[in-house]
Amino acid sequence: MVRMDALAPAMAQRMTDLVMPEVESGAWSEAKPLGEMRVAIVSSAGLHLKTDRPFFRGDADYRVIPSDTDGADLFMSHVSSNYDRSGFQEDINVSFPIDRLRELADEGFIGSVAKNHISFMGATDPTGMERNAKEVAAILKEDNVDAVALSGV
Amino acid sequence: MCTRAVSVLANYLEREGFVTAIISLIKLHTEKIGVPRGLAVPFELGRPYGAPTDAEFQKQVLKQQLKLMESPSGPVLADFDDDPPDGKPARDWTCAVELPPVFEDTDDLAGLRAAMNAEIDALRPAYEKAKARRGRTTVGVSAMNIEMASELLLAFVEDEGIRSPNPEFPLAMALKLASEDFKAYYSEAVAAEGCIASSMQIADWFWNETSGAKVMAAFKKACDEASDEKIVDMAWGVAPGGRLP
Repeated sequence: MVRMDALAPAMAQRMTDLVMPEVESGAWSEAKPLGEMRVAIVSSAGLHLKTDRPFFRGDADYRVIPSDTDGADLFMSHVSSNYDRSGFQEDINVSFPIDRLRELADEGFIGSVAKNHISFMGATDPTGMERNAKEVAAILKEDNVDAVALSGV
Repeated sequence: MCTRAVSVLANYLEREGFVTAIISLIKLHTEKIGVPRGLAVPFELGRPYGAPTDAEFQKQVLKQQLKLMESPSGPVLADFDDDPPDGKPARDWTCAVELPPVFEDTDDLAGLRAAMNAEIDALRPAYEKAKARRGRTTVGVSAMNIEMASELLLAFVEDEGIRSPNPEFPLAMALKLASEDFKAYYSEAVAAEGCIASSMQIADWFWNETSGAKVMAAFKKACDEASDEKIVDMAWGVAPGGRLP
């Protein structure tokens, strides 16, 4: 966990006090061997193509990021300022590890990389994302995706 | 809040039949929500895979995340114990670009505008160098160039009744995106020679040693006092907690 003592006191308190939604959390999907799975990235970093509409406060929808997207065409419009952006400015892989995922597919560690990846914007009530998550599931199933690596900022 | 979002999304997607594993930057949030598989990492917010330009370290994190998918049963919330390499940030780093003295009077908008434009000009060679080195820039999310984006911030301070320059964006959104471009221009410029400063050094430099931070202070104050509730609501995200009143 990010070290709370590395955060400004008000920020650390906010993180501690933040109310978590109650979500049914018992689901468990059986995995194939890693070397046979097709993997997609789902991020909540507010990532999108330059040509997409940026995210704004309250947005619970998502953007599709094709696997062959050039890093120069990727923007971040997360509405929070309470995290570091200089890492992403230097290297997209620090929050969207597309090059690393591709390398792991080349090495046979995973089966393959999905055709498309997804980004939400995490500074919003995530229970409002449930309907959109179903749409995302349909997009990923269409591409025979087995597994999803999630991360946020 | 991102960890909250991905923790919830993991449950939604697992329910749809996918095998999911998350990176958790705030383990406390993931513990409260519960996820099928999670890897809690000790990295700073904004860097779920640890370190920019360190492909081996990023791959190590990603592999551990993916390996959780082989767990025979769950839920499982594991810890990634290694700190990211620090990239050798210079201990006494200072910005290589010499900037004019910070203009402190945020009520003197003519003076503040002149100081802001002088900084933008002074930083331009470094910004262009960083852009060329990286082959990309994150400045431009507002769909304005840096001159237009920065001017929009002060134009709003002068008159909250201005119109959004982009008919597709409400004014609150145009202002927020312009403010992100403004800050990104500065933080990209100081990385002209590579990431030799830590994220904290870059943030300290911007918020403590630039007239740009004074522009942000005047802008945030105007947002807090705006009659448009969407602008007031947006203002919390203009600066990191504790950097501005």
